[in-house]
Amino acid sequence: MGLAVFAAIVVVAFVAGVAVQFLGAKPSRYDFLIVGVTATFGAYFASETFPGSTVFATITNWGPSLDGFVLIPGIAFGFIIATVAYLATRDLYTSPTTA
Amino acid sequence: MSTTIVHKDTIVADPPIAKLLFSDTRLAPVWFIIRMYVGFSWLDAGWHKVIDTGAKTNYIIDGAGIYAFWNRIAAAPVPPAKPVITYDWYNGFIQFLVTNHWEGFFGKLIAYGEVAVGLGLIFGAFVGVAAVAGAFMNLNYLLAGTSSTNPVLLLLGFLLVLAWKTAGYIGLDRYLLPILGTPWRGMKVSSTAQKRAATTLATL
Repeated sequence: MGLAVFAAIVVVAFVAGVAVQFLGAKPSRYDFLIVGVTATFGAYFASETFPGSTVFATITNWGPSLDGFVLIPGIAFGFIIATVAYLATRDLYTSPTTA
Repeated sequence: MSTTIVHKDTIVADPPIAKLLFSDTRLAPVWFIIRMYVGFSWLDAGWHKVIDTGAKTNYIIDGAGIYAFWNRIAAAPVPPAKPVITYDWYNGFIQFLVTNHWEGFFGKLIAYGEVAVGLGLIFGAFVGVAAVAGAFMNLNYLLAGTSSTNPVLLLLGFLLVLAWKTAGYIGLDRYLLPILGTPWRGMKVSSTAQKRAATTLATL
């Protein structure tokens, strides 16, 4: 994956994070960070790992790629794990965590 | 001269940085990312072994793949070459497995074990147990002379073990751990049951 497309992934992920922070049902101070980091990791990890892995050996066509970034698994997995992380942690930073 | 009295029930508190890293749910997203990486590495390695049906490479049919691997690493090298396995006791253990044909059992154990560790870490179910099992396999592969990704996975496995209470927070452990409780705390009971027990104790 090229540096330019990786930088683009980071920017898009953090823009999505900021959008979630302002538009989310329970906004907190760290939504942008959680969504940004997890979406970046998910997109990079899926693009680099899923094509060619044994787990997904039955999938032979992964669709289009951009400068080494395989779009479909990258965007899909980035979206999935960012959503999971956001939904699981959205209550964490708006209330005390210790009794 | 000062004297320090140490009571039997002294509990050494963790430093704040350790509490933050390993016991605070606010860092759950970090462990979530690490779990995904380590878990998928295990799942991919295990699934590769499960679906391999080669006559000389399979792990789950008759274990021919691991038998060939054991024979390769336990073989005595021609001097001045050094043996693949550094420790004699581990070489003896591998020789024992080869001699007694444990490949059928261990082939299945390793293949399905790696898949189970991978799924446990990905879904966040019993993360501590899964990480211990994964780290133990990493340790064995390193003792067998295989480097590859094992040092990194072993380190991350250690960290996941340390963070077992919160590493599965974004996952099934968020629900499993409170339901099952811990051996030293007992199972979670309803507030009604707690009130009833308290009332009973108060009347005694």
